Amino acid sequence: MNPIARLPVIVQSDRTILLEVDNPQYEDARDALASFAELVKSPEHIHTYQLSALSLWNAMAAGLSAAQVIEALARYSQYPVPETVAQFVRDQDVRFGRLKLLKAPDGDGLWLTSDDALALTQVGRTKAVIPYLDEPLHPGFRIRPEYRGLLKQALAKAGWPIDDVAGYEPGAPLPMDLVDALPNGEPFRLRHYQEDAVRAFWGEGRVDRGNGVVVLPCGAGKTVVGLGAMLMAQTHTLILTTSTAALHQWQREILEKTTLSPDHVGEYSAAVKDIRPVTVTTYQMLTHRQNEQFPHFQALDAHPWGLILYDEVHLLPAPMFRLTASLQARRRLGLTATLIREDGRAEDVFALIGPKRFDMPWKVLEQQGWIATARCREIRVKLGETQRESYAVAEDAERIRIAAENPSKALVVEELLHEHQSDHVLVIGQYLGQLERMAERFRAPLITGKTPNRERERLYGAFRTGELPVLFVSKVGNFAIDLPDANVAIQISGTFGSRQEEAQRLGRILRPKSDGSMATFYSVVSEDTKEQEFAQKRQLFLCEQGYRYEIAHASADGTPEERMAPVIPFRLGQP
Amino acid sequence: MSPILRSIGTILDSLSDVERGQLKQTLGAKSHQPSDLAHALLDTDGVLQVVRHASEDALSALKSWVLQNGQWRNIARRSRLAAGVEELSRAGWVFETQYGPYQSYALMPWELMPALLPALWDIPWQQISTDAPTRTIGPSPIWTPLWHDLFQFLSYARQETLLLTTQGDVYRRQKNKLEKLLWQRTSLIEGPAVDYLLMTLTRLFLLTSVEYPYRYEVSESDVEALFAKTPQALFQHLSEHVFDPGRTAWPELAWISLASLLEPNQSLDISAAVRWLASIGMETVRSPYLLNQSIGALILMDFWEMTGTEAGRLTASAYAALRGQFEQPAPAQSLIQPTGEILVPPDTSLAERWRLDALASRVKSDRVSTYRLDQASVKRGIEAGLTADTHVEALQELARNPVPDNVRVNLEDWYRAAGRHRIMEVTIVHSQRPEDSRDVETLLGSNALGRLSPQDVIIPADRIKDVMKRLEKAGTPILSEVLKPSEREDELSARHFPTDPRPSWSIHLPNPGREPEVSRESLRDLMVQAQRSGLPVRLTFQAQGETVPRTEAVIPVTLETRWIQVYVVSQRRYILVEWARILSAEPDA
Repeated sequence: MNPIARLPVIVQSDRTILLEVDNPQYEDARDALASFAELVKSPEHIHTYQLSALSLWNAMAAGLSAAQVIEALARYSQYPVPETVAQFVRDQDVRFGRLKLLKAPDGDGLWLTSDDALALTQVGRTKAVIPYLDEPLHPGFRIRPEYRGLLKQALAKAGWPIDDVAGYEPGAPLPMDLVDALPNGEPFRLRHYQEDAVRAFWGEGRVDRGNGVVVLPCGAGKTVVGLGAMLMAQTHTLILTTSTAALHQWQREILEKTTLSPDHVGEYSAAVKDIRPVTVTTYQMLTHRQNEQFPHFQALDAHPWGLILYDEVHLLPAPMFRLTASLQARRRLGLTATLIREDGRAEDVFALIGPKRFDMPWKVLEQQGWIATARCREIRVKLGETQRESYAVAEDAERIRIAAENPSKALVVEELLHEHQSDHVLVIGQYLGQLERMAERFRAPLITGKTPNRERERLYGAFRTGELPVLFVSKVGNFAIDLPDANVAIQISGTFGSRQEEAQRLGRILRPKSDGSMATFYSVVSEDTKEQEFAQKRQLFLCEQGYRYEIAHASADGTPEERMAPVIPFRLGQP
Repeated sequence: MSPILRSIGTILDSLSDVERGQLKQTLGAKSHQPSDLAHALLDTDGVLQVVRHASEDALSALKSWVLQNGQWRNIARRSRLAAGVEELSRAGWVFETQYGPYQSYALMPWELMPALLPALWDIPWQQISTDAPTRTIGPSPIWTPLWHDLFQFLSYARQETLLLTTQGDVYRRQKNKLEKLLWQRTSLIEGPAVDYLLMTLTRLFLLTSVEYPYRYEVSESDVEALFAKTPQALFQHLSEHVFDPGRTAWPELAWISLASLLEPNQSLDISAAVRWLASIGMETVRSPYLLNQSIGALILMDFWEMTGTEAGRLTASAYAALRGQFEQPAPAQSLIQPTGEILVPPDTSLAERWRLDALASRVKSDRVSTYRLDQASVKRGIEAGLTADTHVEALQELARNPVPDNVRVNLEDWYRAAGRHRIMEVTIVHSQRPEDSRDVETLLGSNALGRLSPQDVIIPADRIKDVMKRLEKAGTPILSEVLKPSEREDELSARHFPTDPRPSWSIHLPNPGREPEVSRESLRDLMVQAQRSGLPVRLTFQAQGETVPRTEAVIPVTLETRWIQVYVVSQRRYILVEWARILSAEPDA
């Protein structure tokens, strides 16, 4: 065989890059690609990367040249790099750095400038950019600081990346360190990939770094990456989370893993409005609107923050895009496991928070033991005769609900709970009626949006200690709850074909188990219905991360059906 | 495809074993296997030997073949050209193609052209070549941009109906879709490229036009046969289309042959090469219109790449192919991912790719093509008569990994769901009352295949006459008209017919044919007498493009130096016959 054919990379003409995993040069090629291409998916055999203008601009900002990118592609590529791709890389090189964003020489705001007068003229006539340009400041334009993010976003869309070297507000100083040992005596330090993520974000404090997004699977310790960023910045920090439960979790983590005392850590929520050097709040608080104003945002914005952490950044609500733009003067780090936005605004997240700085295939972390090994199973349950008839004549929206609330699912859940009676089982659903009926049937507590925070915390606490073996949660449990010992999740209904919801729900059970055991994720869907179609779409993200779904079938009375695949749940894996 | 330009592979495959044995003797080949014969025939030293010892007539015939784009037109029996061709056929270079019932042509394999050019002329390499960017020449890949585009079009036409306008042109909106399927090249004008590729597909008989509605349909059997060829045979087949002298007057074969003689890192200076080719007698090469058109076509067909505004060279794939270096397909290398995606590597054979194309939905076609197993692919599978098991089996034969379990289960479930309802067309005997229908069932015996309802008995569609006869005999009269309640009026009158204009053709070693039996002088005397007397003579002559001589009663009208005009009695018309084509003549009794 020709040795060239054994190289691990194939560069496609649409600028996707395929990387063969079962190849001796896989790791070298992966490291090379990570510096200028984005990892799109990493299923079992072939990983897919994408060369985009943004990924190349980031690479060029980090000092890579077009020639180096093309050379790296050619080094690992089985076939010559397509000329269209090489040309695209060269084009980005030509464009990158033509426009610079600096502090205005007179100290009033920022200055968009360039050595290329024609480029400035073109920018000055670009419709989408004009609203963000202030008076001419030769050569270039003065920019108001609050438009920094929006200007960058508009110029990126127009194909003119800015080399933003205006720097950040340093923020008020806050000396801090990480602890050496946790309260239970276990030694504590950043894991290697967490260190890498912090380094990729911080970039030795360079002006072109200090912003961006870190993507790590649930349970891989994104909070700790946030703490690492705080350690680097040594400055007052604002942390934005998705819920009060997550807010409290962050507070606990900060107090447990850093040298900061409770006096340093404040909560800014509906109940408590306490701004301290490190303040944790929620997106809802920040985007709360009163008389056309954002009172909480204004109160928080007045504080000298040097770093802003966005937890679960994929959930950044749309109003935050504008607010975030005005926070551009501060260093900012986004944390997420699944940067998928069903509204297609993932690119906006990159533009406003910063580019993806670090990503790690889920399966790599699983192999290294940093997250639990998980198996995913889908159980297709038949609709009962009555439901089948109702389903046949119902409107589309109603069909989805009929399929999701299929009463036969309860029978399957009963079987599963019986099978997993010695495990910690989280049952997650979308429809409150269905959840209430099941929780009542299995005499287990249920957490929904209506459950008071204190009660939620109590129930989560009881589940953590093992006092409660089964907990039912609505979609409030999708994110940012830390339940280390939950090892089984049963999804009984979900939001249409949401890929990120499926992944987040799996994430609830991915924290490594103290006994090293495996996690199991069940998705119970109604057979031959829209829900089954949605399930396939929902599973796509996890399949692309290298997870495999085993599929089984059950009849309407909940009994397993023997078909092609092994049947739920007890005979799975047996011949 | 041209009857006068063929590849060595096509020619040798068409010969009988006996003819190959004769050729082995003539060429002094190792065996009569096509590969050995081709090797002996195209051996550069052997070519030089033949040229060195060739007579003037043979040299002139060779030059004429090169200058006329690899063909000889109108070889008159008594001409010097005929003598030269005859000498070349003795060297084993010339073959004869029988095209349709009346036409035959002498031909040489086009692969001789690169070896003949330097043997016949001193090529001024210093003037016509320039340096070009360095490149590595590997084996010619299987999955080239051209095959990608042709495959994409065929795959599209397999799933969507390619409707034709009354002028036989594909509708604009569909051409727009086809444009999006093209391989991304640095410079390509998509519109003409789509037209050219569609024309290529029809000329290769991979797309055929059918009626009702007027459309292109994929000729599955021809596609399968073509894709089953080896990479070398595929290239030869394609070359016969590209170099077809009937397609363009521009000397594409000579041009490519000349470029193939360059070093890999050299280019042809287009202006200088055109001047030189014109200087040796290829006048059509000067036409700027034909030059543009032909270079464009060669670029699209992956033979040519430009290295400057006035310089170009063979693509690496064509360069390797002309040297007989081909990437060999790796069988069963596709990868089925748990996501339901199938990744097809570039070294997959076209035959495997085509099979896979029928089993999964096309997502993206590139170096590595992506397919997806989805409900649409299951529907097509059901239409093709597959079951979940046979679908999985077929996939398994093409993949290097086992079909993932979740994918298998999905296929199974989709087959179950999609196969639940089917549209059927059955032939039934419908009776007004159930008891009558029961009688009919009894009378028909084994011709009653089943029952659709108490009043409907299913019968074999091809046994309608038998059924009628049997019922008539049994005293149960039945009307002969077959009612078709599910067909619309206009469809009833429509008939579907394929249009395949291919005449049959075959290739043989040249048959010397009949020699003239009379001298020119006695022939002329006889004709003069017949002209004066007005009495017919029986004239045996070989008409242009025909191998079998004709014999006709003719009355000479005009006698000229090169030809005579005669009145053909049986046809009641006047024709011209060259003296050189007359084999015999005698007074008509």
